[in-house]
Amino acid sequence: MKGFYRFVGSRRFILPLIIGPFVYLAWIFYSTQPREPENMPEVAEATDAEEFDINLFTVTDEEFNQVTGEGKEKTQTESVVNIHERLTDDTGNIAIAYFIWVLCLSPLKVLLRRNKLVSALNRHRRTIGLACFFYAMLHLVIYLTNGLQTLLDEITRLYIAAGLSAFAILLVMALTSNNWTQRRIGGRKWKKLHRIVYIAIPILIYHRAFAGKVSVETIRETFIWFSPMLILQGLRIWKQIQEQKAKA
Amino acid sequence: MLINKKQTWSLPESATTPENDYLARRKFIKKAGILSAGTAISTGLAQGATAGFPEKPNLNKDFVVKDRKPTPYKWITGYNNFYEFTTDKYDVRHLANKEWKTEPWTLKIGGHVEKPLTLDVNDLCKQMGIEMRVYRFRCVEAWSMVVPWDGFPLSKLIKKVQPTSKAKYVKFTTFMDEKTAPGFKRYDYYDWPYTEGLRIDEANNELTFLAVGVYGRPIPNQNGAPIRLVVPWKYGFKSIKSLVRIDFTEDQPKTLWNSAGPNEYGFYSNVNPEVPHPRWSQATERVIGESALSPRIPTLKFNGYEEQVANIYKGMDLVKHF
Repeated sequence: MKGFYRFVGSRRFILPLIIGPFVYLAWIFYSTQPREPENMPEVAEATDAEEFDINLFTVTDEEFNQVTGEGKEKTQTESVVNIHERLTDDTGNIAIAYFIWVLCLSPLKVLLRRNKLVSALNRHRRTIGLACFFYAMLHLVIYLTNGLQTLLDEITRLYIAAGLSAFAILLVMALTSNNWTQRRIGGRKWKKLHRIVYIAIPILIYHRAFAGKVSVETIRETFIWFSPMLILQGLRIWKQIQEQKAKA
Repeated sequence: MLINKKQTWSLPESATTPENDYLARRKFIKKAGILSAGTAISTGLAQGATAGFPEKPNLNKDFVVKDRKPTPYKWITGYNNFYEFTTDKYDVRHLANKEWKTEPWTLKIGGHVEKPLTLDVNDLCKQMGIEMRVYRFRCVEAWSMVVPWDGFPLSKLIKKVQPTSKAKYVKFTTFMDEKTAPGFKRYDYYDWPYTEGLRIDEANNELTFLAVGVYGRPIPNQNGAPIRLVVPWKYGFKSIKSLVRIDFTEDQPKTLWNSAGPNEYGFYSNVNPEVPHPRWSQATERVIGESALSPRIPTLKFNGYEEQVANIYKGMDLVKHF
């Protein structure tokens, strides 16, 4: 059992969990290139021609059966059609997953002080936090490829502003997450500074819940995602209040 | 308002797909589907091929998008918003082809009309004739496709049922069957069934189309089988799928998205790059099928159909009536 905890606390355990999603995203990106349909004649040219080739606008019965069939015919599933949307959603969700994970660890440590698994996992708090920042950065970069016009149009929207401010918080935390700055700032001050993460919780909940078209669905989903962390944080506060009362 | 004038776009009956071919095709495709499931009898296939889709369905060249390539079939049929099934655009295809049957299908046309109609969609196709048009399709979610539809203009049907002077709006209603589509229960906060509406002059516009096919084949379930509305200058959600009723009304009909979010989805919902959605920009759009790195393209006013529809909205404040 000791070996297991040592493994959970080691890089061999955490690195695949951090790099895995990136490999998945890279695979989506490369497997969907190039997207330009090949051998497609220019429409204007084709329709102006006297002998118009209707095949440009018709499909075969086989193709029809492939998209309307069930079971055996189900083979030609398109998993990614709107690549940009898929990458935006996925990077955002991955970043939020790490965010929730890392914020579950600290209350768990308070609640289960002697649990070896919890202590092993707590060794990875910085790594997971940095991973969260990394995927959030990818998310932002992919969003920015929508163009400057879109950014200027949307920056006043509350959920975009929320996303950007959450990113700013993560940026501050990521930049100070190394031994050198930690020492320079001093442990107590550093801890205080990193409490800004709690501001990011409501901001990210808002950002996640209102980013899509389907508000009720996404709100429901968001709360299901965040609930374990919110419950653990609540329990931690409750426990700390109890302990203070006992002291007094 | 009686609409009897001969429209410039109207095709002679002879130009459209022969009805028998169209109907035979629907049947053939069913047959072919069964055959491919395992019992391949060569004679059956040969028979079907002759009775299948006509080799050259008639393309109405006045209604073809020329500056963009048509979106490949697999993406048109694999990325669908159809909340009656699921909000997952990739999963609609599977759920819509499971238990839901779209044949036979009856369409009822009523309200303020002289000649109300209740008939099977196949019979309707027979009466109306089928032509092919290639339209831009712009979703309110800021992505777009170019779709070759098969069908007939709605105005042709309006002419047939003869709306009375009281008919100021047209209300469209889709199916509601909780047994075959899981969305009704799952998303019970929407005001089912899905309804949409057009002003009568919008409905009579030469562009407004009732589609029964995509890419020269019957319209797949996920795209709104067996008959759907296509209003190319409005956001996609106005183009209601799987119609069961068309009613001519005096008052502006209630529509599902307008009820769900009155400040986000207006009754008109014309494609307009200058009027952003409250939560996102509508100035540009992402072309489905292009690389993640390709830039968005600018969205055109009325989705590029300004010439045909701008006169409908003359003098109207399009920001207020979004």
